[in-house]
Amino acid sequence: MDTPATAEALQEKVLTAIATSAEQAFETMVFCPLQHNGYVTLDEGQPCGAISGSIGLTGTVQDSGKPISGSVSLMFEKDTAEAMFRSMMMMGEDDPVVEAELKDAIGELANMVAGGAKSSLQGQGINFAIGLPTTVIGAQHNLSGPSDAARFCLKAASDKGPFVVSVILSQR
Amino acid sequence: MGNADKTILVVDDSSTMRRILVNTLNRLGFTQVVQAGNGVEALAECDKARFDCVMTDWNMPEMEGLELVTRLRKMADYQKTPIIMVTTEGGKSDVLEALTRGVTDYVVKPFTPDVIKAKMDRAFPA
Repeated sequence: MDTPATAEALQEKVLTAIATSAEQAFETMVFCPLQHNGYVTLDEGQPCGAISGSIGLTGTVQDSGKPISGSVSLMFEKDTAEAMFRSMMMMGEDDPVVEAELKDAIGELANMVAGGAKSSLQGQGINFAIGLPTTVIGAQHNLSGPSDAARFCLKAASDKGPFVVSVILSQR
Repeated sequence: MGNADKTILVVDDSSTMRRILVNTLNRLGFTQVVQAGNGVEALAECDKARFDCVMTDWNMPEMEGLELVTRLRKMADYQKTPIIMVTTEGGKSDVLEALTRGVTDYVVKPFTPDVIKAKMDRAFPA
């Protein structure tokens, strides 16, 4: 097992696992391949959106016992989220979307992204537990985290519209 | 006995995932599918009817999937019933724990319809 030696290496492994898991989840369940140019670091603030699904992560690095925690969030504008939902459910382009069902689907997508990353990282010496998903709907809301946490944003493009994978990581 | 005669219980707290599983099962010919939102609801359904197969999530509020499996395996009607866990918990140790607790087969989310078909074929060999 190749346990990451530095904080930067650990961060890189977690971010890569989350990006790969997002690609798999959207391609398999939403029938929607993603394009992206990797993460950008956010020094302040978070991207805004109309609907977001988030999952908390808590864990340890196996060899050192060092803690690692944070969250993974998916953030969409409403039109994109609805297009994703219709694709996931194999609905017609104009079929109405019920808000409660949309919230559940975005939460479940966040769950799959975090769960896939968790499974992948388990084999790399990083053991995470993930929480139950939470979903927020509200025009132009953003997500905050601990002030000392590192914040990353992966801007994804798809044929259903753009969206953001937001990752907050703390190694304290 | 064909697929249409089999009764399947789908247990997941996500209505999205239940809908995807029910649609997939329907397309495979399993038309008698009952849904439950967690382990407590699932046990209540099992008191009302005898299912030929149970598909359950792991992480759920009220009662999680592994507790449901443990309780089902203690019931005379469910000691040999195929129980398929459908979950994001895909680590090797997770799969081993589930199999040890009595799960028959395991599906990691995200999944394709072909994976569900393969698991149902294994649960109900021709």
